[in-house]
Amino acid sequence: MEKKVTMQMIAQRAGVSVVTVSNVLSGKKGASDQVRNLIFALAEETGYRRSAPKAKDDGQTYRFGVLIAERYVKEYPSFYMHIYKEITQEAAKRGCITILDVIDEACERIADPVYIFPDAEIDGLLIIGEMSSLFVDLVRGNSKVPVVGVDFYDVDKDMDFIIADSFRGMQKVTERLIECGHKDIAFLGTPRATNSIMDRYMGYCKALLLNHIDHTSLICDRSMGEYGSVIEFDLPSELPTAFVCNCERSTALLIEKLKEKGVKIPEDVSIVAFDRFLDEYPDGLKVTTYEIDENVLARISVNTLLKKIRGNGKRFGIRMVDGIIKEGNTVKRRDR
Amino acid sequence: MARTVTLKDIANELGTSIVTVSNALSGKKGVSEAVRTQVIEMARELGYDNAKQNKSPKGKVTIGVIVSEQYIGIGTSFYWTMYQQAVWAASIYKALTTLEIISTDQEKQLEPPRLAADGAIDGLIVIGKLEKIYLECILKVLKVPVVLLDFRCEESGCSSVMSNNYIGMYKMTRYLLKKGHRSIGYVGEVETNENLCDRYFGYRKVMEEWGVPVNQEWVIADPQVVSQKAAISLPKTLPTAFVCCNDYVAGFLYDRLSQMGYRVPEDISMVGYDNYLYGHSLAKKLTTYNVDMKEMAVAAVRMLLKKADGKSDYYNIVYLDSQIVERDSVKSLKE
Repeated sequence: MEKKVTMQMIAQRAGVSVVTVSNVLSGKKGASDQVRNLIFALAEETGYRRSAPKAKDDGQTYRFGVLIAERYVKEYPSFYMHIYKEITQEAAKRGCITILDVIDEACERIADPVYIFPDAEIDGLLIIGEMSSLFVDLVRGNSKVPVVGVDFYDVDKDMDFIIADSFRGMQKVTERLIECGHKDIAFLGTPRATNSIMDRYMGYCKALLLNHIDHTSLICDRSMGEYGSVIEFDLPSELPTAFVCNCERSTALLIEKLKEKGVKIPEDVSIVAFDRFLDEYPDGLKVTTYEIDENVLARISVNTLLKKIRGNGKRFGIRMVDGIIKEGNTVKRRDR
Repeated sequence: MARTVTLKDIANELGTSIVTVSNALSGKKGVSEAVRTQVIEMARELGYDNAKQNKSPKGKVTIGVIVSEQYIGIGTSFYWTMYQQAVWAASIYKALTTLEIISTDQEKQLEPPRLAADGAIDGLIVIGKLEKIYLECILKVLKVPVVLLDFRCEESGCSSVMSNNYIGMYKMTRYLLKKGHRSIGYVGEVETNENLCDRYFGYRKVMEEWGVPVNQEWVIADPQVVSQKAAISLPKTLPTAFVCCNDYVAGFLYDRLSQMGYRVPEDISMVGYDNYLYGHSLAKKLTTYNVDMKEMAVAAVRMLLKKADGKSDYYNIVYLDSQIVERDSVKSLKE
């Protein structure tokens, strides 16, 4: 078989560097006309063919608009700003850039017609974190570009959503408690507050059902305001041996309340939770959690949006991202 | 440049079929010696290049596929169709497939598939749940990547491609609620099969979300019913709708209801899951959730090829979401 003609071969014959050959052939500057002509002549003579660009990367720079509700940005540390950072990094790897718009309450409530990114041409849009359904509809109606939702979902909308696998995550972390001999396990969270909290609650119920534990108990942890929620709850008079916490904010409050009562973690009560964004709680406590890899979430979100922009993504749907259990020191093995 | 001579050219020239020409040239049976000689002479005359035509399978990737016998025992089955999709998906990526059906004994006696012999395959797709202990036994002897299709086994560390059972059934039940149904039963199994358990919790989720209590009398959870080995015992008072864990069960329930004189959807509504029901009159009528087998197969093959190529050793589980296929088994209860 004939050997493939490479730039190296042309460079040798022309007595120039490979870089020069590459520049000339790709139409870039930095070579005299004389050299340029010589290289073209050699390329033709040897039958040099540039390898086809990889199908995956069309080399185009796309601009992604990113929307985050103000209420998520106000929190510190902000989980969604962290996701945004990961998304920006993933986008950069693919030669794309992101433009962030923080949506305030008035805008989300659609007090005025929404003009998202009026001056910037964007090719696609990512919405990070749950926002009002009407707002999402309006944004989708107004912008002609593909929209992908990150970390929330709504089955009534024909669009793509990338979410953490709350259902299975909570199942796994609850099973961890059961393996350690716990049977009296309470779920801390308000299932009907959001889709993902309901999924976490279902995961907890599934773990108990599969392990033949009939006793479920639910402690609602928040009152739903019209805009966001306030975390508040009372400890039950009789404490369970373990808590499964739906989110980090209520985990922090639970630890505080238990501490006030003089209850020791994990000696008296064990705790597992979903998400760990704060690395450490007071007294060196590290909560055992189920966590997703934000980087994977970001990567899949960016890939999905790119596919839609390029017109390759055929269908809409909910994509769940798997995570792992991160061991902490808040679960105590009980004697069976 | 001269056009490459094909089998068709030879067949046209001799006025026979391509199959005959192919058989004659490849030395197979079913061709008389006279015809064979004729074909070979014509091939020489036209300058047919056999080597060029028969691209050597060398360099092609071979994907092993195993399915447990219990899933594809009879007729057209869900997993047989899924296997077909896997073959098709492999062909898109120019990969070959080789199938082994695992007998129940083989699985019990922990006898690894013959496919697992050294160098025979570059990767393995397992369709449908195998016992964990058997899967572990395969992984022990197999040195190539494995992808599981339609089930998962986290302990094995194998990546999986699955239907999004939980979200799918959530969508189906929600569909009933949006049509005005509030007394909704469930037929399926819960504890013995994880895919079906997840579907049950998809149902539970919507009920919880809408604040509609689950009447335990209407939850018929029985593996014997799912495998159609036991009749469905219906509660005295019926709900207005049933969520069925798959289309087969929906068909089974439909027969039972018909026997008792109920009409679907006039008297009772139902939804299924899979969009796969062969040879049943309900197939054209049942509103169900589509399990996109084609997409699942493509995802599994792609994942496996990447792993076989050493490009990815990333462990993940892909849940593929799809859509409701709206037909005519649900009556709207809204005015």
